[in-house]
Amino acid sequence: MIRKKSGPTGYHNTKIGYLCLAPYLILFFLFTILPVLASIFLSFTDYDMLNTPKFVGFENYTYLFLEDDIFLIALKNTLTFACISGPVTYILSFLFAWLICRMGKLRNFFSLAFYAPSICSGVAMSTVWLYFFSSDSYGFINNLLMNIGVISSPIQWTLNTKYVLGVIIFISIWMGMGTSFLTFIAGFQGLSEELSEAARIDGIRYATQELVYIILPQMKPQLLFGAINSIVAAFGVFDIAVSVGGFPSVDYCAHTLVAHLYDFAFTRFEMGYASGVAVVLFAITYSVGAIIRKVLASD
Amino acid sequence: MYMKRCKKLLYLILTIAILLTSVRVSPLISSAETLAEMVVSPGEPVVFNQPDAEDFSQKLSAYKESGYTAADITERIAVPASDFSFAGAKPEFISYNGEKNVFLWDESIEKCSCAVNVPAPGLYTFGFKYFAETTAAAEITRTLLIDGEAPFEQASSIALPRMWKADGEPVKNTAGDEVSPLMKQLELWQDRELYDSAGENSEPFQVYLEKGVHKFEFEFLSMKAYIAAFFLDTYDAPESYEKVKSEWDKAGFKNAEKSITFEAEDSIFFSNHSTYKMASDGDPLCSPISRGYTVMNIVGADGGKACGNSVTYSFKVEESGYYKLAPRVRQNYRDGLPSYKKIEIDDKVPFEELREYCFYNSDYWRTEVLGDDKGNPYLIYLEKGEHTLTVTSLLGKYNPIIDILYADSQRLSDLLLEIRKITGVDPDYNYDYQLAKQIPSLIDTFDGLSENMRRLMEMIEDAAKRDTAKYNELKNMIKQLEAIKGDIFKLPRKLKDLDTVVSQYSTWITQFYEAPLDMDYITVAAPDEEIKSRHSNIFQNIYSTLVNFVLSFTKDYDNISNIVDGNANKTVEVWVSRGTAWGEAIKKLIDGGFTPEYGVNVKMNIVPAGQLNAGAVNTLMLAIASGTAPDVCLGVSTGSVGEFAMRNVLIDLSELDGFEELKNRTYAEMYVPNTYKNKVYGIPETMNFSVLIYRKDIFSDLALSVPKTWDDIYKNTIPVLLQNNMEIYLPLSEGWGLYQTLLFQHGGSVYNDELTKSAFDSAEAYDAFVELCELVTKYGIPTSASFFNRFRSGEMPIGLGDMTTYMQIATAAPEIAGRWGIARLPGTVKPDGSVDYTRVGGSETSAVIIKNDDLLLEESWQFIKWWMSTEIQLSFGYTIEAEMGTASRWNSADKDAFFGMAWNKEDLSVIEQSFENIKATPIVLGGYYTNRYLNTAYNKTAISNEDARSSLETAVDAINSELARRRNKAGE
Repeated sequence: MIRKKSGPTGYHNTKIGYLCLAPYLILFFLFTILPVLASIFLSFTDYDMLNTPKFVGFENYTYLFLEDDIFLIALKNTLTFACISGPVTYILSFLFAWLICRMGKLRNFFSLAFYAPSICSGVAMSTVWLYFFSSDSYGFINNLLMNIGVISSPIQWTLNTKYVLGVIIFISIWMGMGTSFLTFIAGFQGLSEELSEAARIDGIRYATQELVYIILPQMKPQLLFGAINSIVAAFGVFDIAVSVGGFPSVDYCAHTLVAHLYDFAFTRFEMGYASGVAVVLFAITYSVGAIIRKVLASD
Repeated sequence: MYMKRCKKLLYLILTIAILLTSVRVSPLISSAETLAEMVVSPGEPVVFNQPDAEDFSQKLSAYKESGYTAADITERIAVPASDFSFAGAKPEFISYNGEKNVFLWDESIEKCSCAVNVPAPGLYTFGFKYFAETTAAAEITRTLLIDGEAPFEQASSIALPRMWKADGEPVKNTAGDEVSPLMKQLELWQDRELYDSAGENSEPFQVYLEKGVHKFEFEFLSMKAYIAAFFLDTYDAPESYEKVKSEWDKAGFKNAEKSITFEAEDSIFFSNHSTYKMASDGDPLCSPISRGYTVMNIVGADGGKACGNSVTYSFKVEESGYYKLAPRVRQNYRDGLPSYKKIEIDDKVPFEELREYCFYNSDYWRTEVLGDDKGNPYLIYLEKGEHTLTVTSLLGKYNPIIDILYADSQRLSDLLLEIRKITGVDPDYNYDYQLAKQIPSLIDTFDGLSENMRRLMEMIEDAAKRDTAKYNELKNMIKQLEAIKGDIFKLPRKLKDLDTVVSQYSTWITQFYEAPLDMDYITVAAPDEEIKSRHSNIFQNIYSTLVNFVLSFTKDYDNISNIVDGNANKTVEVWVSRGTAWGEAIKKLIDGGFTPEYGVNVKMNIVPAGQLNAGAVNTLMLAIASGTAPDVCLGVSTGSVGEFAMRNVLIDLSELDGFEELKNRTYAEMYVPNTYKNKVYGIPETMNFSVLIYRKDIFSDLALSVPKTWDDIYKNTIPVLLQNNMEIYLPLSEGWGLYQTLLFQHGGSVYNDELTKSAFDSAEAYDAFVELCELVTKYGIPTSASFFNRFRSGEMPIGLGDMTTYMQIATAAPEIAGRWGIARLPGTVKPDGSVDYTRVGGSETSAVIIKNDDLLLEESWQFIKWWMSTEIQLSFGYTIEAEMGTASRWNSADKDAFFGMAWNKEDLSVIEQSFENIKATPIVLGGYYTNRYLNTAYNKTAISNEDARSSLETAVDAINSELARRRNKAGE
């Protein structure tokens, strides 16, 4: 058997293939894989960032799973956040993408309008929204509500634990129509006309029927991508939470997992423990991603 | 039968009911005496009187109208210092710098006076022969009374100007930019008539005196000076150009032939304000050109614009004859409005037209030949030899505008206070307050205001000769006023808009007091020479921009080191987290003082504020982790010192030589937040204070006294304020700051003595916590408000403020100048009757030394000792305040340096008092939990209305467990 062959299907061309992949692989390894490995390593140490790490074994994980109350609060907040904000953003992106695709001429303008907030930084957008949600009686929403008589004293949007998480979810949904939105629009462009025509001949009359029976099954890859994006982003929310709720937020009401690890890393200087939290977060996000893939994978 | 019985019953019931109503039911509050007991007897109410002396410019016009002229005397009437009479002990008379029999007038001499025999009636100017004491930089001011009363309003604070000159040539720093040298005071005797320091008048102060003996009394206000004599003189008003020119023509003067040009920035003889000095501009046609690398090529910019500032140039002409003056100037600052300048040659205004010369606004550089409106140049006769040219910024024709703005902003803000007394801070828009009936002068005031606005529009249009933003804004304001007048019912909704008018007026007042003008070079030209107005075209500008852009890739903008001299000296690396101006000032002091004295070079880097703190990834932490950290850091926020100390990266300074001496120069409590485990890791650099700021006029109206204790506030201040629909300001958006003060006043502490557990479970802590939360729940004090704005508008006439708020109100709110004051923070009455005034305090920023392998410990410590010495701190404070203005006052932690700044006399004693009982919270491992959980407890109780006891106990548990955990980890 001739193994070494030159030509389009030979070993020689596999080498060229690897060479082409090399830049991406190297960068991916250096900036994504290596930090994850370093994080896993650091999670078994006690490291205060300025002195050498001290190996402590599973102590960090013990504390994390058995004693850390705040971790549970953070987990609760993050899951609330992910469960509400993730799906809502996802569904809204899809719906808006669908509506916009049917608009024709104004499509580009509306696409830009919906995509723009996600390009801006979370901190900048929070500052803008804080004008609306200011706790002062002269804040925009407070003033409006007081003028029409709904409330008589200003609502402490950023100080009252009941409202802070709501405000953050609202802002992050607004900002979340990002890449998933564009992906869906791209997906809509790639739909085949013949299926829709065939469906119309077969008796479909409403757009919603078309959506459910024809479009959704065709868009499985985009749906998968969008879902993973939204969920992963929802688990990693941090700047918006900090800009609106403060760091740390009052009574940990807006304390997410990332905020929790940030707190340990930079306020308490326990980088080892923070790495442990990061590893746990990585595991959670990965498993959720895997589940979604199973559910939505194209067969 | 049955009916009759019912009726009888009914009548019986009715009778009993009527009888019962005539019986007095005792009220819940039993008697008037008990009621009186409940009210704490207040202190003396605040008395506030409006000053009633007239403004000098108004006085002057009144004099002129009455036909008074300058008195007819041939020579100056001088009264030597030895003839002065003193209220207390006579000061020592010495010889100083060439003058005999002079005395040093410092704060120990409160009053002195002299009697002058006036030979003839008329208008007199007055002045001193004085020598400014040059260790300080703030204004020398005195008060004047003539025959027992103030001749005009400005006599309550007359300034004796200092003279400044650049101390050497501009030096290039390592980035290649030229840096302007520091301004140094000239040490000389000045013999001058006194002018107003705000540039409101081009003429000196004048008073009308009858013949006979008059008594001139002076009072010390601020800053020392040596006095040789006091004199009276007269002012020769300059005559018109025509007259002066015809006299010159008669004398046979001819046009000169040769012109000379001199660079404005090189020829400064002196200026009367330290900020009026050379600066840089990037215009391609400025000479010498500043492209890529900064070159000092103009005079003016921000430093010279305040009215009253003047700069004097010296130049030399080769031949006698007529010359015309043609400076290259740019006046593009004001909103289209011109700047007025007084031009003097050899200290005298040559003719009337140069007394208030108008430089029009234009976006570009131009060569302006001083001349009349038709373009004919003014020809000035100059003798051969040296001359001086003085340019003074004046208010000029804006005087009447300022008067209207002041008066109207006062009237409007008084009116708004009246309205707010009726409607409250939060008016109900559906209720008809009948304001027109309740305030009879309402419509008239509005009419007067609109009328004045129209006059202002005319005056501004007249002055500017082009479209200005102010003109359009006035148009809008008139429309608003008309709309309000049309429907008074809607007035409560428009109160915010009227507030904006008041603050707009205040902003304009500050803007009008600026007469900016940049000068590049001045040509004293022969009248026949044609002067071309050169301004750069677009290609030159593009080229300059390109050069700057390319250079920005290689130029190191934040390295302010000097050129390390070849003597192979040791170099200490310093990082400063302040702005570039501060860095430059420190560097100049280093070059002039530290390096020559100790032979150690300093390599300094400017770091953005916050980059030297702990928390978040920032420059310092990364530098330490990678081993490239500096030796010394200045401007580290004190809260971060503990964090770095715990991680063992700072040097313990308490064992070093000279530490005790350094420690004694500031308050002992300043060291508490810099100490960890009995070792000191940071030297306090700056400190802050906290005082009550209140409106004297509003308190006087309400007959309120300034509260001394918290009880006072609860029982006297708050009720009266609420009755009048006003509020008090307290910083309640988070609880930790105010809580510490209350806690210390109740006698509690944050941790137990061993610093192992939280002491919030004590009774005192609980009491203080309840008091804190009740501020929100019981007294309804708003948790979030802009104190600065509400203080100005009168909605919050009293509040707690720190130094930043104090400086803000002092510099950015001219319409309430003189109508507010400060007082000590309220205290808590102790069981034995005395009052505890403790407040929380500690240093704001500190200086630290970082451990690293190549640390030069001795030299670094030497540097810190030098930097924190009183002399250097004072010098730095003066420099920064001179360069950047009053608002950037340097709040050094060194006691003498802090109080040596130009504080208002009245406020100074309150500020000094406020430092007497400060207390700070010590650093503990895990201490970040304390303020976090206290804020949470405060939030839960005050805002979410949970139970105080349980919130506080949750906090105590959490804090204790975290402290224990950290201690376990650290192995204690």
